[in-house]
Amino acid sequence: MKLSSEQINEIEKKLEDNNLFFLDYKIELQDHIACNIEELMSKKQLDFNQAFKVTFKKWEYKLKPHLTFFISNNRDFPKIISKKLFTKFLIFNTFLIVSVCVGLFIFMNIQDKISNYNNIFNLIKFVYWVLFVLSLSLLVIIFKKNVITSYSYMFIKHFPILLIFTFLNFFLNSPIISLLSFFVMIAVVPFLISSFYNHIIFIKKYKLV
Amino acid sequence: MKLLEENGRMYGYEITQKVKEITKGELHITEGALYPALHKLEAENLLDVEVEKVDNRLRKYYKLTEKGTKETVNRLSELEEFIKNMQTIVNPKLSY
Repeated sequence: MKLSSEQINEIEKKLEDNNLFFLDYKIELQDHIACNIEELMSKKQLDFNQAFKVTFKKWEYKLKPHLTFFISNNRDFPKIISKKLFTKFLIFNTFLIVSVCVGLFIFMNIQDKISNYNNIFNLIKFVYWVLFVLSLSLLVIIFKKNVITSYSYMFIKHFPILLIFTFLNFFLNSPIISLLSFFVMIAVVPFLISSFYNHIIFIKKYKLV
Repeated sequence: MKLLEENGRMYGYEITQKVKEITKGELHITEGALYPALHKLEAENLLDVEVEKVDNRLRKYYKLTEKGTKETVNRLSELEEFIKNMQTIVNPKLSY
């Protein structure tokens, strides 16, 4: 007993109602749940609505919101994906904090030892702007593709950090801001590039665009 | 990995059902355990994926890469070694 397009759409809507809209999770889980429902309908002679209720009752715990405060302040994510998002969030923020601390340590210990530190900070500012423009281009590509994955979500969630330091760099002509921006960039840009790469690979594999 | 080696390509639900069938219902792999493991193997380039439209939805099939096929042999022999060692601990008399 195979499900119709309308029945598949109902499963998709239920997943989206539980904030499971990242395609890299939704597509696979939608298929798994559909297979579950089809099995119940053929083996236990249930109709679609009964099998749908039984299956989603089984999934209730996995779709419950979990650990969402650390990932988003205005959205709940189901347990089945929030743990992975939280791990990524934790790794990224640990790396960011360590990077900023290293930047502060370097600033406090070397500023008296470098005679041309203005030139060095101008170079750092230049590198920062190049990497910012690169990151902004990647963001534009993500929006143009118009596909939501957990990778694009993490990219968009962490991009504002770069934006904040861009404004600070633009309005404040301060060596410490330039140096901190550089170390923030060292932490943020590899993460953004990795998220972007995984997002594009996913789109290509699923031939979504 | 052994299942994929024997069956070519499989999708997630198919893997859970096959394990249940082979173990006569004794072993039940949950979705929370299966999919993270499959994604990790995919990230390690041990599995490749193919996506097809089947029965009005997209389905993701997993299959072993060349690296995955070699790694399956390695991991199976590690598992055999582990089982032998466990048997030695549990039944030391039988090891003589």
